[in-house]
Amino acid sequence: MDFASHVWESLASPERILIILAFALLTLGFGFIVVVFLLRSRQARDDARTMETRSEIRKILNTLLVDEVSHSPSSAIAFKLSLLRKIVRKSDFKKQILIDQIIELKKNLTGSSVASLVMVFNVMKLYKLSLKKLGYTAWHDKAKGIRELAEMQHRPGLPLISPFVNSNNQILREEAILALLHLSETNPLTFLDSYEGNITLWMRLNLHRNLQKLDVRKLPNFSHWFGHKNETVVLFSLSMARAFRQLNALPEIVKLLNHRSERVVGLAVETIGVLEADEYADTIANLLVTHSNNPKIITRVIQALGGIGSSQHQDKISGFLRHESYNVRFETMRSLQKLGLSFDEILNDQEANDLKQIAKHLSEPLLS
Amino acid sequence: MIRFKLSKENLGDVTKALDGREAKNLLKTEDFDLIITDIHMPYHSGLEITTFIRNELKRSTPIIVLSAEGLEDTVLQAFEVGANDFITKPFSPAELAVRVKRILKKV
Repeated sequence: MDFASHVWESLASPERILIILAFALLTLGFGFIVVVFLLRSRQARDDARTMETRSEIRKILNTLLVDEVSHSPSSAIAFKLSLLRKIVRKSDFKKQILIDQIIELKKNLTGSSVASLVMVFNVMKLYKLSLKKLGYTAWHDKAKGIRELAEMQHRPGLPLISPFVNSNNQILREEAILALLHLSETNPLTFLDSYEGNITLWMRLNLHRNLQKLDVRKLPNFSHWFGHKNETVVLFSLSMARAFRQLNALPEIVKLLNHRSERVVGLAVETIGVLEADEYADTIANLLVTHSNNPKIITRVIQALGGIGSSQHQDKISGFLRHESYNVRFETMRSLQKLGLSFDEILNDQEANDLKQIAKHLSEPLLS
Repeated sequence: MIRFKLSKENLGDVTKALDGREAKNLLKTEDFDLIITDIHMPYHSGLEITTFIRNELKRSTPIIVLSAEGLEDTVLQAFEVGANDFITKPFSPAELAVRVKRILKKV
């Protein structure tokens, strides 16, 4: 100690400060390492506990699934449920593990096994935790709750999910809409009546995919929403009418040819063509005059006429061989060919090299 | 769950491999009566394992491929490399047991 104090006293003030600083930094560093170590140990313990709980729950679920609820005495089922209750007790954390396991299994199984899983979800009132999440602040918790209720077909949750259809958060809107599709027994698309948000391409694809799973006779008449003030709803309904070939919607589709939105008009034209409604060929041909300044609409009309038009439309279309837009010229050539004209007839008095190039492209045998 | 179901049906002992690498190592040392494999696994896919069994080990062990991917190409590929059956997820455990019994001719 004497030596240390002697050394200390012999040091100048800056050197003392440096030593103190170095010592403080070392202590902090050591303390940081200890804290990190303790946190990691706790994390490892929590992970191990989670794995253990998951494993215990999985064993009991397996016996429930394999024994098949319908063939087991009620006392056996009650016993297994009591084992599950004993594991989860009142812990939301463990209940969540159970819910996750149930949903994971449900995605991989069909038949009576699924009935067993839904039974566990309902009898153990796990839906209460999912419903509770709808009131959480974080959007991802709400979304998880919605997804769980939809996955487990919990219809009583529908009135609590519906308000999220018009949420500011896009992901919540999408989850709510998909949940409505799963849970609604009558018309799953009634939410569209008052839908104010944007129906994104992702939503459209998912909605279409889910609608395909429904009985075609239970699909709504999509023309119901053709007059909606939300343009994306109109576009969605129109594309669904086309996808599901709702020919009875054609008169309403024709009315959309006068819509204020260019996108709606274009899709309506395309839909008329896809539905092969040749009785409306003259109607869409008139758009070549009314929308002569709009190359996108002209392209769609010419494309449609290539399918549903007749020889009397050839003259109307051939006028667009000299259009400034390449796409228009290309589609004109293609449609005229579909309407029965040969390239020689089309190119009759046309000297333009680009038209000859288009003809060469369209007649390329490797592309046919 | 599959292991549990098959054990319940008294179809013999079931050995489980966690991934394609473990499966390959097990196959090198043991001969099994039946293989049930998923397509998507870490290290080696189910199709690689099937090819390994048929081409390298030269075994005719029955193989059932289980997958969420039910695309026609995937199914055809599984049969081309030597699988005996293909089950698409979601599946019924009871159906799987019946198919296993049928393959093992224990029905």
